[in-house]
Amino acid sequence: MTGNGPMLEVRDLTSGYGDVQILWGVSLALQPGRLTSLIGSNGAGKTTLLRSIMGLLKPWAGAVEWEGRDVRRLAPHSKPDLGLVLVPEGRQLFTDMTVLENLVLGASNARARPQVARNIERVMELFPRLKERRSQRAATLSGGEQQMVAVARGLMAEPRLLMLDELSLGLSPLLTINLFEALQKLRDEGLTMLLVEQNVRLALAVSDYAYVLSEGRTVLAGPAEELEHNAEVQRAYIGL
Amino acid sequence: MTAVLEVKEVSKRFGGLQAVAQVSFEAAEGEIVGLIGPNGAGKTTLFNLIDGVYKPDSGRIFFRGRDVTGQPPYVLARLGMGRTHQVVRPLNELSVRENVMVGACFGRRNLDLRRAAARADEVLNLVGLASRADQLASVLNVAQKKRLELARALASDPDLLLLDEVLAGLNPAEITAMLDTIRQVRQSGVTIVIIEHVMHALMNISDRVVALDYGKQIAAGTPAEVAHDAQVIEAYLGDPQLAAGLGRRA
Repeated sequence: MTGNGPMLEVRDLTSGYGDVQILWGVSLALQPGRLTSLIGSNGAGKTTLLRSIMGLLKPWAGAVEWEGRDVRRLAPHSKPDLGLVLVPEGRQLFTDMTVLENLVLGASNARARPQVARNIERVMELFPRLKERRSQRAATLSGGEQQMVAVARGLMAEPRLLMLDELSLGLSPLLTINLFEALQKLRDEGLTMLLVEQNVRLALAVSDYAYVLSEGRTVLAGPAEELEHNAEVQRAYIGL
Repeated sequence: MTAVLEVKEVSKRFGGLQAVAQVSFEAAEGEIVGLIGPNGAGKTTLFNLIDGVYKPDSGRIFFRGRDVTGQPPYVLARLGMGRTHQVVRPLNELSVRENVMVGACFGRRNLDLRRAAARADEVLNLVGLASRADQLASVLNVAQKKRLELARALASDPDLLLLDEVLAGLNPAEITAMLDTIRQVRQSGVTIVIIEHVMHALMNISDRVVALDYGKQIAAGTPAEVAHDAQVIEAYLGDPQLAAGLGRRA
């Protein structure tokens, strides 16, 4: 780390698609070693924010800084070189490839390549299911198993900040809990994470800190424990 | 008050997905009923069942007392049911006025072109697009296209208007303006059922709210009642039981 500043800082970010503005001024600062959640209702701009941080979507205005350095113009595929890694919504696996091939592809940046063998072992320990499924085509896995592959592939990139988009979407409660237990483990090992999650209670239960996004703005931030009891969170979702 | 719309135990299944399950609600004359629920709750499917895009597997739909279950959308439009779509698709090669005239020509009153043009101008006035009447629909921005979508539906002279996310993509000032327009439409006697993700706006404008989750109706009542309903809170924030096994950093 360089100094004690945030690992990633976003300031007054605005962004959108075509002439539809989605983000109206988002600011957040991710401290190293923390699991931070980004919560907010449908259409609040959570995925748009992650895409803007990665550079998959060009920010209209505002700052995106990685350890104090402006990374707005850095191409998405170069972000993992820094350690900035996204596990995208909908998993986005290479479904015709095997589990193992998907994992190896996650390790395509220079820092990760030498660590492939060690990291495969690590992720298989984290998700024992994947050991059984290692030679199967990703398409043949269940939704929950595919989500495990997506998280594991992210970990193969040697992330310093792992951003996870909607892990629990469409998963059974049991598989959701399995994934969240894995996140807890990663959190306790000290990995910095930004979690976007529709299930607010789950997200707040495991997080250190959280931001609430509403209609494209960060409207609330604080320790997850405090937000669990904040009526404003409910207001952001239900409107009253 | 008489019910303009009565939905009675309506269900629809797509393959293994029960999209709408035994939903019942009514909209009384001049009422604004909000339809809420998380993504995939079945809101738009319910609209598609009401306005005849889909036929329900079971249940009945009554419009002004008449059983209209399974009637195609164009028949319902002529009976006085109007609808806007989430993704607006204006006829880009036509002017704004001509777009609205289409609604007037094929709606309930079946107007000839001259009367349709007059009706279009009346409606464009109401939605605040009069100054754009002669422009091509394709040049409108998002907020204006949403207004055009509303104008097209209004031009058919509906008794019942189904609004599907007319506020999506609008900025706060545009949302306030659109809410004012919707209230004016209601003042003119139109009954409204509205789906909206901008929750504070929906709670603000609705007389009553119906909440869906996984196709089922989980609550109905005043906005305040529904917002404080335990099942609604769980649907939006997640099951507290599920999170109980997880813990914060030791």
